[in-house]
Amino acid sequence: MSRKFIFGGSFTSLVFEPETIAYINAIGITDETITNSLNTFVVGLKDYGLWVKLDFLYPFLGGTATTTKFNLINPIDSNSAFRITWYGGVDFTNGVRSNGVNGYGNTHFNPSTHAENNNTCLGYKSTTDLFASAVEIGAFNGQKRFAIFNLDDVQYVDMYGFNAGAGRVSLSQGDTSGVYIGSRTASNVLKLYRNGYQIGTTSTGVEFNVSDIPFDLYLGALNNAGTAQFFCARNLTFAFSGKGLSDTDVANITTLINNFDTTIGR
Amino acid sequence: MILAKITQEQAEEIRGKEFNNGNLYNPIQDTNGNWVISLTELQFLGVDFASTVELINFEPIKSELT
Repeated sequence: MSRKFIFGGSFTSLVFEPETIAYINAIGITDETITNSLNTFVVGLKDYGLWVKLDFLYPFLGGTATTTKFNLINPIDSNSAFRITWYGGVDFTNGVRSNGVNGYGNTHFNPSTHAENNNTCLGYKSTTDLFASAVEIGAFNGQKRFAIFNLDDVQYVDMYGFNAGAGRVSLSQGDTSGVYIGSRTASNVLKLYRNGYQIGTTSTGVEFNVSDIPFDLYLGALNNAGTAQFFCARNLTFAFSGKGLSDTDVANITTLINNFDTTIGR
Repeated sequence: MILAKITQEQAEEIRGKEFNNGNLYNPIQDTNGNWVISLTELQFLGVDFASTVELINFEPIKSELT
C-alpha cells in the first residue's frame, strides 16, 4: 500500500495519503488545518485497521450541501458510492443539522444489499443535547429497524429488530450529544457505546437478517418504508457504517473523531 | 417553527427538484393537511411562485416512535 504521497498545487510541501487527496479534491477544501487534520484522521483509520471495515464515513466538511455529501471512504459523486442526497431544510454550517421538520439525507446505503448479517456497525457524533423523538440515522420496514437514535433521553440501537431481547439495546442516559456507536459482531452480540465505552447491556436477541431492511439509511431522519419521518434537529459532525467493531475499534474511532473535531474547532 | 404553506400543485411541481447545489425540495404535509416547505427552500423559489405562499406555524403530524 502506498503511504506517502506528495500533494500538488498549493500544498507542495505536504505529504498526504492518496485517500485524503481524493476526498480533498472531491470537496474542494483548501484550509490547511482541516486538510492536515483530515490526513491524520485517515492515517489513524488505516493504522488501526478501521478503514477496511467501513462502507461509508461522512466527516461533513466544507459547509455546503455539495461538500458534505461525499463519503470519505469512496468520494465518488454517485449513489453507488453512498454519496448523500440532501432533501429539505438542512443547515451545513458546522456539520449537518436537519431543521427537524423536513430536512434529511439519503445515504443510498441499503442494508439488504450493502450490509452483512451479524457483522455491522452504525455510528455518529452529535454535538447537540436535545430531547426529541428523532432519529439520527436509520431505516424501518414497519416491523424491524436498522437504526441508532435518541428518543427523548433514551438512547437506542436497533439492528434488525426493535423489541427488547430481539436485537435492541436501549437505556436512558440523559444526554443526546457524543459519539454513539452500535455494533453487532455476532447473532447474539449487539452492543451500544457512547464516547468509546459500552453503555447498557449486550443484547443477545434472536438473529435477524439484513434482507429485512430493503430501504436506504437516512441521516437526520428515519426512512419508514420509503417515507422520511422523525426528523432530527441535532447537529451531526460524523456518521458512518460498516462491519462490526470490537471494543478496541470503538475506542479508537471515537478518539480519532474527537481529536479531529477538537483540532478543527467544532 | 414558521414554514411556507404551498398548494398541492406547487408541492408536486417542486418535489425532488434541486433548489441549491446538491439540495432538493422536500414538501411535506402538516397535521391540518397543508403542504409546507422550509424558509430556506422558499428563498430559492422564483418571485412569482414565492409571492403566492403564506407563512404558517408548523403543526406536525403526530406519530409515535417506539
